[in-house]
Amino acid sequence: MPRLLIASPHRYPDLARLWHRFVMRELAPEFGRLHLTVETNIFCDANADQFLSHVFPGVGFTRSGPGMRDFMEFYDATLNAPCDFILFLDADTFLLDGDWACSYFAAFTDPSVAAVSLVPRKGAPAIFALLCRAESFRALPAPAFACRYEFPEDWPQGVNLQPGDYAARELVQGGKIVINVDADESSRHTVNFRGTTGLRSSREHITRAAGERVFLQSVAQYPACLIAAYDNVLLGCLYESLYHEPFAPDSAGRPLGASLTIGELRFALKEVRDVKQLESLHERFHQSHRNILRMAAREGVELSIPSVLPQ
Amino acid sequence: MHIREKFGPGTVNRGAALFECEWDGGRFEAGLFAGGMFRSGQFVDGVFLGGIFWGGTWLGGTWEGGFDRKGIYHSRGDSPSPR
Repeated sequence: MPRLLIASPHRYPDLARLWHRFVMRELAPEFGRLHLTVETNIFCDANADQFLSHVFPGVGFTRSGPGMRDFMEFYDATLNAPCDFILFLDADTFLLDGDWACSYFAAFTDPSVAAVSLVPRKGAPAIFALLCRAESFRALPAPAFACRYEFPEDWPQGVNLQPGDYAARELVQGGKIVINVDADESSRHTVNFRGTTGLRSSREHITRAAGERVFLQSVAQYPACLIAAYDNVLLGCLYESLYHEPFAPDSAGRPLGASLTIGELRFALKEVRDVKQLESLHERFHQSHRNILRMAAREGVELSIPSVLPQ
Repeated sequence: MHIREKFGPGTVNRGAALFECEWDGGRFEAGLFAGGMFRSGQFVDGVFLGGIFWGGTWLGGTWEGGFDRKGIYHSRGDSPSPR
């Protein structure tokens, strides 16, 4: 029976718990019905001692080490796992409809199909939820998945290829097919809280190197950070309603203290003066709000979501 | 905190955070270098996160990930040039 490996890099066990919940309920059983042997693996990119096996039934863990020092090396190392197909599913990406995801597996009856991108980035295939035929990617020179910076001499106008972009380009140039599900269709079946892990790791790195005040200043400068902070608020609402524990706590146990607390986020948003930027944030927050309610509906829970934007 | 600024020879960083900055000479002793271009100088200590290490000397510090002058990514714990 062909083997499918569902694999994901994680730094934070609370987010991984939500990810695991949806994967084991929506995805693994559905792929199993396609007569695939399904395995699920979490790569612990940090905090490995906090990933407790009894909290993640049915999942194998891989720890960082030689050959797999961080999430970037994880992708290529995973290619060497004993499997025929891999579904790379980002830590902050949720597939809400296993039937829909599985329907794309039939595409692999065409031997020239190398991958199906279920969640695009700016209209192009992306690693967020990438169903791969392992053999096609193994045929590429290693590292196939690692990001690259093309034309570095032109910085900052060079091309920053994200993980998997180079592989997709090489495969297509070699005559393979990478099916790219369009954004409208994808958004009906998936939810993506992009950057939520990155914001938490940024707080760790920036605070360690330059102090907490600099981290809080930097967040206000980058709208993507404010969006990620709000998305963590929403994930926190869902997490707390399901597990009755704080989400992303800091070392003092403050909820969201390892991301941005609600108070910190409100303060940062008050610093945003540009009306267009505020409108854009409002729209984006509304979209995330709708998405978390879709996830809550799957769980049969109601959420109490605080407002954060200035009235 | 500095965003999209350029620093030349004679600069010493002892703890500032540089985002998307260009470092061309000088000595980076502490702080954060994120998403910028390190053209030349000495990286003695601090955190390098996601930028390009084009040239200069890597003497120490924490490499959290970034690119060398060929645009090749080096993972966490690596270093962009021989010490």
